Amino acid sequence: MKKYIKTAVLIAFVVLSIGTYYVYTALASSENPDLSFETISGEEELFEPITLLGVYSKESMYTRFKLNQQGPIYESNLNLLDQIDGVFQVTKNRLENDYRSFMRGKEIYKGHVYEDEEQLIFVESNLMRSQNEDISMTASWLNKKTEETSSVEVDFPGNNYSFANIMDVQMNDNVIQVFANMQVNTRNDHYTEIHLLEIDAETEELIGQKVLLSGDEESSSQNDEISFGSLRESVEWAPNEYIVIREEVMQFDESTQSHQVTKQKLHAYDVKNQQMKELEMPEEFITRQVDSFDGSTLYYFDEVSEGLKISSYQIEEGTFSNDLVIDVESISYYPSLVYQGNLYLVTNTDKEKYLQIFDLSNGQSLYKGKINATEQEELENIRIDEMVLSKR
Amino acid sequence: MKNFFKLLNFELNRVMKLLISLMVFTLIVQLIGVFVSKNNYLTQVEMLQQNDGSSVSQVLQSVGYFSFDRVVNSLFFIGPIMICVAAIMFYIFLIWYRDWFGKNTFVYRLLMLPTARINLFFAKLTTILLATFSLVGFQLVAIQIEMLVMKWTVPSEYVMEVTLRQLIEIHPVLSLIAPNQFSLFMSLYGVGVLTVIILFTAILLERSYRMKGVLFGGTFVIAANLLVILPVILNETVFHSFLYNGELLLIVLGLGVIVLASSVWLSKRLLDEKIRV
Repeated sequence: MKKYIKTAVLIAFVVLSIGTYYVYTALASSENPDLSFETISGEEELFEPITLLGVYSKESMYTRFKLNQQGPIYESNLNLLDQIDGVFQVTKNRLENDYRSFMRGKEIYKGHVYEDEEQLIFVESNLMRSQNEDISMTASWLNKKTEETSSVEVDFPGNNYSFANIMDVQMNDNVIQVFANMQVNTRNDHYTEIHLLEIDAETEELIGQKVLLSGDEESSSQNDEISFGSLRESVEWAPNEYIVIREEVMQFDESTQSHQVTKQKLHAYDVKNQQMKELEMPEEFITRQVDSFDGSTLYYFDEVSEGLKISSYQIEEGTFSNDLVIDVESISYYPSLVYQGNLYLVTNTDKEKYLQIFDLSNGQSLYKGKINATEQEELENIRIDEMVLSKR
Repeated sequence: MKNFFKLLNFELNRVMKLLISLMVFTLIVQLIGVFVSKNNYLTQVEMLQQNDGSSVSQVLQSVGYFSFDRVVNSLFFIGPIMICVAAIMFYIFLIWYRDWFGKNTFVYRLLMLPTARINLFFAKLTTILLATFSLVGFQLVAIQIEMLVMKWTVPSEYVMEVTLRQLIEIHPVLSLIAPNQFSLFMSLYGVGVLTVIILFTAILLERSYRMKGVLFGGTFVIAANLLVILPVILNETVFHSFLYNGELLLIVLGLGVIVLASSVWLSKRLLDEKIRV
């Protein structure tokens, strides 16, 4: 037996050193706080379709988590397969579960998906021009009732474009509308255009391409640079009445050697009536950040002494409705979401966090739930970054 | 089984000296690394204090805290790890060839032992694995010792403590040798075991067919690797990500098991029938 002593010691050393380490890490990840909602007032069903995404960080370690009515899921507790499958891409996960066959081979990017009761539309792009390939895109759609799928590949007409980025997809009257930000790059000209491409879902053909906005036309002088960006909607895949695009005119400032924004505009495209208009509102609202946008109304939040003041701008009427003041402690930097006329907010006091839901027509509180952790002081290590709709 | 353990014990005894020297070397060089990083840091601190009369908080503001991270990022720390990795890679070949080219063709005696010859294969494989794991385990222990030394030698007001888990999380080399998640550890070393088995089979092909065997062995290594990663390549190129990640992983895992089993089977046939002394 004595001659085996070295082998035995070596094996024991391996098991002890590596074993201890992994037992220790397993214990450390089971220390992730258990989070739950405690209803203070209102109906719990209202926040059933909502998922919160955030980060739990402690002693310079951090792990992502998602939290819904069922409780939290921490990335550090997931197995390898769930980790590479992107549990935190909530929309991707939901669509892959519900439409497994249709979703095969599809990468999800923000703004590339449209979903309503009947249709699921997905646009993929091959947007870098190469020597022998034009920029093109593929639109695929699924009729949820008949389970029929169709797909069409469309070349972007014209060869002055070096790059295109899909901003949004909508459907109106069986016509798929793709909004794209396209870069014109010729020997003399460099500017951006916003294009609308229309595909007839019935005949599976490209039936129209319009330039909605052009950086070339908008610029007044040679030194101007114009950029366009679309406002992010509360629910990225939902049908919208309007697509809102922010235009920024930038001028090169010699003294700071950088581009400075000199002018801003907000444009809205009416999806149903297919018209573009510039929003007319006071300058301060055009230049400031829009806190929430649900496809038809722009919401601006201001913290006031009585709570949170909400200014809502109806795009169709072109007017602000009466300001609402809702009763919250503080919303700090947390995300919000507007869905079916209700405002979802994460609010906080010094030590506590709440999920609150308000009716935007009258400012009434519909639900208030306190977020609880196993140890309450752990809430300080919790940060919530995003609120997404995880159900249709 | 008993024969396997005898062979394993024999192989481990042969590698023990190498292992212990690697461990001692690693610890010494990494400790030197601790002192060098510490001295560099404290020189900076002293210069600030003497020249500008900075207070502790001012010093911390300009040069930051001293954490073990500074040690890990130095060549004194990574160097020994690289040398250990290279040594194990080298030993994968040495463990077979020393039996042929060592004193008085030892392999002759090994092959004549009254036991299944595949035991020889498994004993050598287990030796490589245990050697690797003992070095990984030793590194985990060594870091703890080095962190203690750091704590004793650097004034506490300048020290920012990090845990081993945090270090591994942020450091790419460390998270490759001992990833924080056990599932990842198993996957990485699973790939490692498969690689060693494929290389062993290639060595046996060479030992069986000599010059022609080099060609066979090379082809086998390329083919086996290609077969395992083929689904990933095809899925990316021809099938445009048709398979979901989970499905892809299962197929790769399945192919990995097939390659592993056929590699062991081929090695057994070579050892039993074709091997030349």
